[in-house]
Amino acid sequence: MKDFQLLTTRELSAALQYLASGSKVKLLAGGTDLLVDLAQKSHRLAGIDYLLDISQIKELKLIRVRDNRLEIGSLVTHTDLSENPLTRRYFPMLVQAARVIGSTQIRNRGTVGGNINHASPAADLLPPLLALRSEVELTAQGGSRVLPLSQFVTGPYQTCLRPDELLTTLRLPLPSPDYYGSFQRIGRRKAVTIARLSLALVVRVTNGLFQDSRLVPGSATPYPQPLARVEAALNNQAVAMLDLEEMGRLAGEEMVALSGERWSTPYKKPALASLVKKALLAIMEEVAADGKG
Amino acid sequence: MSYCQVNKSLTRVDAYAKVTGQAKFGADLTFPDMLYGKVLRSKYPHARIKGINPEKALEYPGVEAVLTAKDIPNNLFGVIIHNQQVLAERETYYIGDGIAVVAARTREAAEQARELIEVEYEELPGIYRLEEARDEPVKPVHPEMADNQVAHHTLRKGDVKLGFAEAEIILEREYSTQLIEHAYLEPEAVIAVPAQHSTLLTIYGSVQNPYATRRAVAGVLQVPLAQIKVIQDHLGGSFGGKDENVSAMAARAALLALKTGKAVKMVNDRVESMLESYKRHPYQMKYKVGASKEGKILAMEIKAEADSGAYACQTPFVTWRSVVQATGPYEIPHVKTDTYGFYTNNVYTGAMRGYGSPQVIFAQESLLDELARELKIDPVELRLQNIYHNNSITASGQRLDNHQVSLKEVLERALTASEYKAKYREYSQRQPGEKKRGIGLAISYRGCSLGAEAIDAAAANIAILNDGSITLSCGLAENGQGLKTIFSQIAAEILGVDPERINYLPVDTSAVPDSGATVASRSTMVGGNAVKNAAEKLKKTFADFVAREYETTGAELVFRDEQIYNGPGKAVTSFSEAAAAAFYQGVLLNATGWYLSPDISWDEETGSGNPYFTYVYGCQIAEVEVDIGTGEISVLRITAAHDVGRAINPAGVRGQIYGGVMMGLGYGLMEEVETEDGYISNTNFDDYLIPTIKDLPEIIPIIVENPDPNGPFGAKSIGEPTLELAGAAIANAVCQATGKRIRSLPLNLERVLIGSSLRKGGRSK
Repeated sequence: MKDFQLLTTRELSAALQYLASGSKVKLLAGGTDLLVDLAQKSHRLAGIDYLLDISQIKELKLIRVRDNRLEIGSLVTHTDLSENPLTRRYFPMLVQAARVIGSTQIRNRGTVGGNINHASPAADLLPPLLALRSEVELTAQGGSRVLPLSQFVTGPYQTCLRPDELLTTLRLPLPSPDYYGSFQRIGRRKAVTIARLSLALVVRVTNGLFQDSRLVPGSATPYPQPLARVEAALNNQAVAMLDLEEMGRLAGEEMVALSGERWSTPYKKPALASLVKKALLAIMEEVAADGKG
Repeated sequence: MSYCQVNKSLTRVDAYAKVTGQAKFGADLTFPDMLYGKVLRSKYPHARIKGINPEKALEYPGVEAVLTAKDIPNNLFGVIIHNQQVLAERETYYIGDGIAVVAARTREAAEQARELIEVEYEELPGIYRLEEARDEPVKPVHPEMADNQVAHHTLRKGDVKLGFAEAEIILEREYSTQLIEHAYLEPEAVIAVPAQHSTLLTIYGSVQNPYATRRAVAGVLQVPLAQIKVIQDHLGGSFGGKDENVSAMAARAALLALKTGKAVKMVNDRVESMLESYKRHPYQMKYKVGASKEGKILAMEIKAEADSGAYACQTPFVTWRSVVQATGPYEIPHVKTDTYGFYTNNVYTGAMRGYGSPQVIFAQESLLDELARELKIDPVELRLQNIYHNNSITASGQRLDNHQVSLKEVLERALTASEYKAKYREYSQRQPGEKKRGIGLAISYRGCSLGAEAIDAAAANIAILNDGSITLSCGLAENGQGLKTIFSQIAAEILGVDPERINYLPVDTSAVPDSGATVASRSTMVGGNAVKNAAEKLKKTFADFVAREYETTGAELVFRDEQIYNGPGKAVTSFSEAAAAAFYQGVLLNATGWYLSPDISWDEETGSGNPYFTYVYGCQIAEVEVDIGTGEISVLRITAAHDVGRAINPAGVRGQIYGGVMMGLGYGLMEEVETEDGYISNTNFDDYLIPTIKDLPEIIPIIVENPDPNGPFGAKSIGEPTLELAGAAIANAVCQATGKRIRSLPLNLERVLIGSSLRKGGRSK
C-alpha cells in the first residue's frame, strides 16, 4: 500500500481549508471505491499527499426540501437516500436506483457524492439524477457555484470539480404531478453486480402527449448522457399511439452514434431497445391508471 | 426397522463452534516465532526462467529465507502423474506457477520482499486453445512428451455402425462447458511446524486430503511418511479444490520451515487463490444419437475433450468418470465413447464437485430434449422409454442387479412435486410480453465412490474411555459436508448411546490409517462402513465382557438408551458403569474399523466393465422466467429428487441439495473464469460472479430412500449428484421458454439474447 497521511475533520470549513492548501488531497467519504483503488494501488491515487476523511461532516448528510427543490447532502448514503420519506415521496425512481447499488454493506457506506464524483459509466445514480435535471453545488473556501449535473460530469471518470472544491449538495427540482418516471436495469445476477445496462426515463404527460422527455442510459455510452434524438422523437407523441419498437430502435442507434461499435454492441443495442420499451410501457400503464392516457 | 440415532436430523456436531466463531481455521493458528511465507508467481503463462536473483529480497528487513526450485530435493509431485512443479525450475507452464518462496517475520515483509526477487524470463509462445493442443503438438507443453495428450479413455458397447444404420433419425450436436472456480469461502491456508511432535514436521491447515498432502510433502522432501504428520483444521469449503494446490503450499511451507527451523504460515489471498488454484475442466463435446421414430435410442457416439491446463492433476480420472457416464442413464445397445484430456498453458484443472459429470450431463440431457423435439415426443416420455431399470445393462456392460434402480421413482417424484405436466402444457402456449416461462428437467445416474480409479478403503478408530465417554476418528476429512455428525450417529446407533457422548477428533494422519481421499461422494458409504465396522467390533468385545462380568445367559445383549439389556425388561448395567468395569478388568475397548469396497472392474482395452459397485439416481426440474428483451434469466424454482439409499441425517441431505443446486445454478447461469492467452482476467469476486442469496430460487428437496445392500444402514451418496443436474435442467427450461437451444454454458445475458458470448479484446479488463 502507498504511504500517505490521513486527515480527518468534522467541520466543512476545515475540510475546505485543507483543499485550499495546494496539496494533492483525495477525499474519503464512504470509501467503497477508494478502498478498492488503494488495495489495487490504482493510478488514480498517484502522487496524493493526503487522504481527507470527510465522512464525519454532519451538515452534508441532510435531505430536505427548500425553494421547491429537494436538497441532498453529498454524504447521504444510498441507504439513507432510499429510506428517506422525502425521496420516497418525490423521486421513487431515484429510490429504485439507490436500492440496487452493490450490497447492503456498500449501500450503508457509499454516498451520493461519491457515486457522482467517481463518474463511472456504470454509476447507478447518474442516469436518474441527470434525467431529473439535478444541479450540484460545489463549494470552495471563497464561496460556491451551482452547475447542472450534465455539465459537471465531463467524461468517463471525469468531472469539472476543481482541486479546492467539494461537492456539497445536490438539488433536484420537485416534479409536478404530471411527470412520470421509470428506472430499468440489467445485471448479471440479482445483487452485488455492476449495471450491464440501465436506463432512466422522465416525461411530462400533457393532454395525452409526451413532453419534456429525458432519457439517460447507463453503461451504454462513455459516460451517462441523454439520448437527445430519442427525447426529441418522443416529445409531442401521443401516449396511446406510441411506436415502442421505433423508439427502442432509435435508442440503440443513438447509443452506437455516441459510443461507436464496441465488442459489447451486438448485445447492448437490442437490450437497450428492450429497456426503452419497458420504461415506456411502465409509464404508459401508470398514465392509463391515472386516467390521463 | 426403527433407529434411535440414524435417519434423524440431529444437529451438526460442529455447528455451535462454527456459528459462535470458536472454530479455528488454518489462518487462525499461530505458533511461537512463526514466519509468514509468500510465493512469487510467474509473470507469463509460458516462459523460460533464465535466472533468479534473490539477493535484494534476502536483504529486506525481516526476511529469513528465499527458496527456489534448486533448493528442493524432489520438485515434482502429483496424485496420478508426477509432473507438477512445486516451484518452476526451467520453465513456467501457466500463470499460477510459483517461482520462489519467501519467509519473513511479517506477512507484509514477505510480500514486499517477494517483489524484490529478480527473475529473468524469456517469454515463450504457449498453447491456449484445445484444438491447438490436440492438432499441432509441434512443441508440446511438456517438452519431454511427444504430444499434449494427458488421457484417452474409450468405452465400447455393441456396434454403433449397426445402430446408426437401424436408426430412423440421427442427430449430431456439439456442446461446450466453461472453466469455473470452486470459490470456496476460505482461501488456502497451511502452517508447517518443525519438530513440534516427534515428527520432522507437523502440518496444519485447510487440507482436503490429509494423506495425499502427507504423501506429497514426504515425496518432495524425500523423507519417510512417518516423519510427516498432517492435522486438518476446520475447513471453509473445498468442493474438491484443496488437494494438489494445498499439497504444493504445504510442501513450500515445509521447505521454508526446515530451512529456518521455525513454523511457517502460508495463506493465500483471493487473487492468489484464483491465479494458482486448479479449476473445473472446460469440455468440448460432440454427440451423435440415433433412434427409432417411436423414440427408442439405438446408438450413441460421443467424443469429449477436456482442457487439462498445465498439469495432469486429476485429468486421467475426471475424463474416466466422463467416459463411463457420458450416455446418461439410458439403455442403448450400441455405444462408442471417447474422452480425452490435453495439456495447454492455461490454468490447470482438477477435481471439482461433480468430477467430469456436469459437463456430459449438460450435453446428454440437452441432446435428449433436442431429440424429443425432433421426434415430437414429450421429453419425459422419451426418457421413460430409455432409462435404466433393475437389471438394465449400462453403456459399459454392467448389469444393474445389486441395488434398486430408482430412476423412474426419482423422476416421478420430481414431476409430481414440481407440477411439471401442468406447467409444461401452460408454458407451451403462446406467452405475451417479453417475459417467458419454461420448465425443464435433467436426470442422471452416478457411480458411488472412486470406482475403478483406485483402491477404495477407509479406516476409523473408536475408543470407549473409562468414564464411558467415547472418541471417534476417521481417515476421511470433514470438508463441511457433515461427516463428523453422521459418523457420530452411526457409532452412537450401534453402541446404543447418545451422540453427545462422542467427541469427534480431527483427522491426524499419524493416528488413523490412510483412508484415501475425501472425494467422489464416498465418505458416507466407505467411511460410514469403516465407522460401523469399528463400532461393531467394539460392541462385540464390550458385550463379551458384560456377559462374563454380569453372568448373563441366553439372548444377545442389547445396547440401547445408554444401557445394556439382556433381552427385554430391566437393564443389566449402564454403558458408563460397564465401561469403568471393563477398564479396571484390563479389557481393551478400542477398535480400528476397516472397510474395503466390493470388487469392481475396468478393461481399458475393451472399454467396458463394472466400474462402480453401486449407483445413485437423481432428477432435477427447473422452472425459469426469461426476459427475451434483455437475456436475463430468473430461476423460479428447482425441484430436486435424489435417491440416497438411506439418509443418515435428513437435514444434512437437504443441506447438500440446497448447496448443490445453488452451485449448479451458478454453473448454468453466470460462472466463468475468463482467460486470454493464459492470463486470467477475473481474479476476484467483483468480476468472477457466483450466485448471491438473492439469486436463490425456491428449492424443493425430495429424499428418496432405497437402502443399498453395500451402504451403512443402506446409505449411499449425495454430495456430488446435487450439483451435476441444475445447469442442464435450467438450459432445457430456457429452451422451452424461448424456443432457442443454447449449447454452451453459461447461459449468460449475451447467449440468451443474441446467441453467442461476447469477449473483450486483449487481456486488459
